[in-house]
Amino acid sequence: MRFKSIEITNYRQYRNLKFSFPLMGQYDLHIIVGRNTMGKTNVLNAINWCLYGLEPHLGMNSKILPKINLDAKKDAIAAGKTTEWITVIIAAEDDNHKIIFERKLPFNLAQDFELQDQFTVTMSQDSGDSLIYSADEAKSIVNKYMPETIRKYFYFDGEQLNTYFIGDQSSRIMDSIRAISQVDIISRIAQRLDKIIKKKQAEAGLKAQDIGSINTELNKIEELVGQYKRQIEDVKTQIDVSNKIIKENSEYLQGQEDVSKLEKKFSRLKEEHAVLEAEEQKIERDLLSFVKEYKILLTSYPFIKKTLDIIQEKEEQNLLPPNIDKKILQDILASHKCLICNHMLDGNDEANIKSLLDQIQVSSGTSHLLIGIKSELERAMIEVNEYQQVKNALLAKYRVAQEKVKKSETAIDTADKELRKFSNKEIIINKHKERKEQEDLLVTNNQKLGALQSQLDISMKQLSALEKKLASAMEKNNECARINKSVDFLKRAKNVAVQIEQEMMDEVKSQMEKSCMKYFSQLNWRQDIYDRIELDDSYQLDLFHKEGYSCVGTCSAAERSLLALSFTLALQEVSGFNALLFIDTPVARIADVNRTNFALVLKEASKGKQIILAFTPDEYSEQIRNVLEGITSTSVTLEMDEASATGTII
Amino acid sequence: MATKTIYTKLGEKTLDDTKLREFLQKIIQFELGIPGWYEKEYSRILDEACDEEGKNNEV
Repeated sequence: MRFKSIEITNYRQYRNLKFSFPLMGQYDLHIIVGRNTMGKTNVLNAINWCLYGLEPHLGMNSKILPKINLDAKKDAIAAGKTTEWITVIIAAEDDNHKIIFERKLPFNLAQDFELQDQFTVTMSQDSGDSLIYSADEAKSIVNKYMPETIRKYFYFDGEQLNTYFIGDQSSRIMDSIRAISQVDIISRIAQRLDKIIKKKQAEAGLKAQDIGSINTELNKIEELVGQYKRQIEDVKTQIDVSNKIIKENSEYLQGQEDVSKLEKKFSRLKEEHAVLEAEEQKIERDLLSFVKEYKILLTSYPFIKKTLDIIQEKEEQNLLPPNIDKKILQDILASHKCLICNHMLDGNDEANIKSLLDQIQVSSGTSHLLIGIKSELERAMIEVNEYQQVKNALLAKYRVAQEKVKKSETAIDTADKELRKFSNKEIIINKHKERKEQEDLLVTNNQKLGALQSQLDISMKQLSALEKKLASAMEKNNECARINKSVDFLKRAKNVAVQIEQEMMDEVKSQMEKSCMKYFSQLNWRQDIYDRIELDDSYQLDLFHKEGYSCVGTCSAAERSLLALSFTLALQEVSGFNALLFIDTPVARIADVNRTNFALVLKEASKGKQIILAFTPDEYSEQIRNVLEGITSTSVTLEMDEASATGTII
Repeated sequence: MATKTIYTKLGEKTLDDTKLREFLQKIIQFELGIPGWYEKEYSRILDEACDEEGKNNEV
């Protein structure tokens, strides 16, 4: 890429200035001559400001001033404007593509401050159309052609060349070499591939599934399902067997009485018979003891009957006194009144009582005896009269008991006969027993079957879920395998990039050393005292004396400037980076004796590279003019507008 | 010139791996162009390469 023109408007001391850099002949060399304070360095600042928004070569006094040109500001205020624009436009070309870098800064005249600047890059396309880029895109384009990190190798101040290798500049140099040789592209690719590799590895890690544990779980459930199925089959078989046995036994026992029931009935009858016999015997005993008890009474009956008849006869004949208490009768006579009803006795009454007392006195002993046994005899008579009745009742009871015993014996005989009919009694009993057992077993097995079926259903659901999980895991693992394949591919790509990077850096370093030494030898008048230039692994530059010692630290300021210039030229040569070189006051610290060398070297370099040199009149000495005059493409002299009070450059 | 060197070296190191060479060539072309969202573009180029590899494997 080369600059076609730089147009500066209202920027610092430039009111309206345009540099054109046409290529005339084979040397793309352009000279700007101007006295100190004429603004040569501000051309460098204008370029830096346009491309990077920076003014690295501004003097301390200028830093506090606004960018706006003071004449322009005054005129704009006078014209009643509220805003004035500061612009720097660099028109460039690269492989027939036009590129315009433009930075504009609005200046608020009323408030007297700078607003936010605007940067755009306009690029022509093969189609003829142009695309305008701004913000980060515009910045990226600048960095593609002239990376900001190494801008000092494109636009630099010759007066600062002697400090070029002072301090820790190795990282800057290494970055420069990487960028200019475009190794940084490969380096960036390697880094980005590495980032993607790590990201994909993390992605693969997330997708990686523990299929082993799922399979273990699956196998466990499958085994469980197998167990349930086998158990169900066993239970079903048992149920079938039970049903078969029940059916067979039922068929066998169809129409046949249950012998065990008959036996139970026989046993029960026997027990009942025993009870009935006991009862019969008891009644018999009761009857015998009753008869024994009445035997004496019955034997005495005629005498009792005769005695009672005698008493009754005597009583009817009044031969027996009434049973009256003689003492009471005597008390009544003494008190002349009835002690029972308190009736007062008259003479007749007393006479009757006296007569009665006389009778009682006559037969009281016999009377007492007879009356005394009469009640006993009467009770005995009653008992005798009841004997038949009680005996009949007992006999009836006894007969009933006898009847029951007989019936029981008949029932026992019948049951016994029935049992005796069965020749296969044991088989029937066993069949009944077996059928009952199988019926019970059937109930248990049906319950067990239900429970097993329920457990099987649960396990089958778990199995189905696990199979789905396994399928999903397998799918994820396939995805994981695909990612890992990509990772392998990316790793191979990264390894190639790293190898290329390393080789290029080694080669570039070697070429840089040779090229730098070549330019330094051409520029330096003391060509015979230096042996070689070396860049160590950290790209620290060192110059070696022919005697073998390092001498970059002991070089003169002029030599260090030449070394820096050599390094820059070498860098641009080795990299083939197609960018221009702008040097402000390039030979300020270079002695006359080297200036011819310097001019000759730059003249040669300008054959394939655009070089813009900004000299002071003193710098642009006869030695330089002798080499450069007549071959430069353009030569411009900056002069002050004397009419301007602010020193505007025309 | 540097780009030419990169391509030459790439060719030397991927003599028997055309797919890898083409993949890296595309990545380099992308890096030489106007920068954009690299991850997206890298992934696209990678997917292209892997898809083709998948197709070849299927064949």
